Amino acid sequence: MKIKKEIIIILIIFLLSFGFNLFFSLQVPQFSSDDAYFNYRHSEFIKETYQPIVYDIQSYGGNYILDTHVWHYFLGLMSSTFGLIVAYKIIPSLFASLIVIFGYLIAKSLVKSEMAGYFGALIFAFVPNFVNLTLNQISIHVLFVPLMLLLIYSLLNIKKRVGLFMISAFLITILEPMNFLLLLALIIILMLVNDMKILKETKNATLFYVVLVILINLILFKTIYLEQGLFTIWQNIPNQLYSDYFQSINVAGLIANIGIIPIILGIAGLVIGLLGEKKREIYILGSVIISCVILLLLKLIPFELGIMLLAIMFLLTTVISIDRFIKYLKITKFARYKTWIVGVLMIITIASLLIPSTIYARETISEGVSYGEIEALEWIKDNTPYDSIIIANVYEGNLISGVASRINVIDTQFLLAEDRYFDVSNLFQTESLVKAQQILEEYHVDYVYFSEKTKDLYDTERLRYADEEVCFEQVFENDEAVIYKVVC
Amino acid sequence: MMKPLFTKWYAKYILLLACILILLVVPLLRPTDAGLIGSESYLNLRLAENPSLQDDLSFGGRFAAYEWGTPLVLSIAPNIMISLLPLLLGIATFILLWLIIKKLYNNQRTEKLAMLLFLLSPSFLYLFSFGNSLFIPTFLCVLTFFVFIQKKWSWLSIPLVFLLPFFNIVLLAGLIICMFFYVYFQNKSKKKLFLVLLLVGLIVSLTYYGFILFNTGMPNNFAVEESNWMSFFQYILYDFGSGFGIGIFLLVLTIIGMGAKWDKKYTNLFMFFSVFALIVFSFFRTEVLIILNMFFCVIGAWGIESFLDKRKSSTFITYTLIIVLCGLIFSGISQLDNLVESGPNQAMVDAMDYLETREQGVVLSDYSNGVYINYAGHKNVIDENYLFVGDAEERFEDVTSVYYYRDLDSVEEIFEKYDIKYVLIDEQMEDEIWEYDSQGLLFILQYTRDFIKLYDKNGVEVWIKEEL
Repeated sequence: MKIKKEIIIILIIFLLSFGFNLFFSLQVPQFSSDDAYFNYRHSEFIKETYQPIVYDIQSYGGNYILDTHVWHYFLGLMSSTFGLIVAYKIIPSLFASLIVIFGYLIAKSLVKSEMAGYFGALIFAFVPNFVNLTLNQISIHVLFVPLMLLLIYSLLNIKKRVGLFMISAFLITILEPMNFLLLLALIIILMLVNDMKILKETKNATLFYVVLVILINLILFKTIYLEQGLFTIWQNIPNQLYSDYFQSINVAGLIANIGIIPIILGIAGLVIGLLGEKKREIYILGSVIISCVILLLLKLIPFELGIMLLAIMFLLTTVISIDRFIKYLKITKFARYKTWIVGVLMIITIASLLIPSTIYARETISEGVSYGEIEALEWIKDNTPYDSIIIANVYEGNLISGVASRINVIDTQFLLAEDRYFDVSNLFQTESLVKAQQILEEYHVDYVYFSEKTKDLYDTERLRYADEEVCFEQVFENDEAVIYKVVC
Repeated sequence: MMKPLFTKWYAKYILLLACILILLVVPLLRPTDAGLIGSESYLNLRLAENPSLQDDLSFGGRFAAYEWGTPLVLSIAPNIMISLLPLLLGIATFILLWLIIKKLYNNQRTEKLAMLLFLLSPSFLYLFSFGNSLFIPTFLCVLTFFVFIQKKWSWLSIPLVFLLPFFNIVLLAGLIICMFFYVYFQNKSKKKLFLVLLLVGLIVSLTYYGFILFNTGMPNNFAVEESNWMSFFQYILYDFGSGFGIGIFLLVLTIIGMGAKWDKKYTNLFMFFSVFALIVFSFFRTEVLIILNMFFCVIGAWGIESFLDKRKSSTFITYTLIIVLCGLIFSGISQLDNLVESGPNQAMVDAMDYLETREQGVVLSDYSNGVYINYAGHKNVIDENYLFVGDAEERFEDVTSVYYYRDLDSVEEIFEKYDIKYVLIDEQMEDEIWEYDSQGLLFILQYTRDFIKLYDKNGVEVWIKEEL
């Protein structure tokens, strides 16, 4: 009976989260990010040919795509079996909602309290950063994050969950071979935990994970490791991209990104755990937080992903604070108001997560990839020669290949590509026609796709050199984008 | 009870057979018309065919400041020796190292596992698959150590140490370090012999390099490739780009092996101190990695043994061992594949054949093509063996400048300075030096009447400067 109640409550929270994701995802026919179209195009190609795109002629005008394609094969299979909506809208939402279940399991293991467990599940239903990064984006993170939580859950009692650890470790590694978060976290755990019995098994698990990550990385990226050595782990991401990210980050920015309540309660939970009870579970979560910060500082993890994982870890430690608060309340004069106080606290916490999540979700759907952009890209598809080269900003490259089916100059597949970021930024910022022509000539550009997002990204109103109508012919315009044909 | 595979009587024959087969992979799989592997083979072959104190072709002509041991051994029958000798010495080295491990540890399981690791190590596969400059000195080092630790005939190590400076002074230094720790921790009775060897090595090295320095002056200290602290991993680990570096999975096993034997460290001081000293030495000279790799194979074998002993206590250990073994095999196959595919490519071999038919002159090209240009019978402006060339830095700067000049007079000046007659451009140069098709020297070559294209095949172009 007890189990049934527990299952029902978790199922309701899970369905709440799933419904929230679906409600927003199904509002628009398109997807909400540039990377979504990368995954969509690769999955659809697999669906049609059963083979992945290894050499992508539309990325950078020809670029090797180093990807395990496990996610694409899965989506391709779902797409051919259940259709596009199920594969690209429903299944990612379903996976994203799995963090509710794993969040609950971890929370319950942490505090051995059902109430705190439900609280954990509820806050995991609406993680603002997670929503921002995954909603309607066919993102691999909808699978990666739940798997990461599953791996952490298996680590909490590694002796009993060997198989679970192995399976989740293997899946995580083949999904994202170059994500070194857990690798670093496991190494830090070894340094922090001194419970000999657990240490021995954790040590074995760490060694297993280390060699697995090395082997899969070497098998998949052998050539690039031989050429670039350890620099490969930075994935050839242009330096300017990182400096752009880090320019805006400060304590206020972090609070805005993660949320004030998760940060306060999360840090409090971590401190309570570390100073008070010195539980092994706290060390494990603390290790993941430390490794997350280290990877962010070393720029070894994409900024937004790093912040999102940090937020998730803080939410886990928030449960400890809540649990401690409830326990404390019981021994005070306010014990009789416990239910009310906890209820209010829960409502405030959930509201502090639900409101930003809803705002993020609305923004993602309305500002992600708009109808106007899709219209402009489809115009390119219908009205330009098949081998045309289109220049757009770095976050629109996959849209050029995915929606317009044309060759882009730059996209986010940096690993084996030449560094064109500076040139492309220069093109959208310069006022010099000569400089612009040099760049356009170097990449044999036929069309310039100038969107509102490019305006925001480069803080520019128009392409001044395009006023020279002899060289640039405006061939399309709507509220979201202008397309110029390069004629000289 | 069934005996484990590595303790069966035929295990050693299987290992020996595997050694022969593995060393045959590269010579058999590499296309016969693809030429030799790497620039070192061509340099050794050229020097072996025409041993002389003056090299008329490198850097336009200079004193032949090379380690002459390998070319002189090959000069007996250059073309046959360069193909056959790596294989024969590879097998000999394999057997000698086995005997050394047997003598030092006398444990069948350790011996065979260590030899299995050695067989799969990228370093061993690199050394004995083609005629590079390190395979003979490596063999000599192993032979010297083998003779040195014997009760009888150990004095034979004296003539071997006498010879080693002519082959590779860095490997000799590495060997001396190992001998020192062996004498200090394992066998103090060899102290006198060690001192004699140290003295012989020192005198011969000083004499040989003194003679070279007398003729060339002090070696220059510039480097054509920039490096930073991250490059260190690229120098020492095979999987991150080092030609004969340590395989990453062997490194993992070594760390485990060291951990397993740490409690008995006082009985393994020779091993631990030698490894520590060689690691420090390898920061400065990567050739030492060859000796370090041999030590790592033994410690790696201890690592596997500790895995095998503990495998029943945790499921993780069995799976970790399987992954590590897959990784070792993968590194080995990856090295063989690299060697089969390694340069010079067919386009360069064809260009060398073409250049051989032309009248001798100075050829301007990237430093990495210098040795091939010499092999085709022409002088180069620069090549990769620049250590004892006095004006190497000036030449490098001039060549780098001339690539980007669009002014004919500036180009003429450099061409006259080095008497350049031909220009050889390959695809790699076009990719790495110039950003577009009409940049710098490419513009001069295409749009002035002073240059005529003689050859253009598979991405390699040869231009001649027309005498006006």
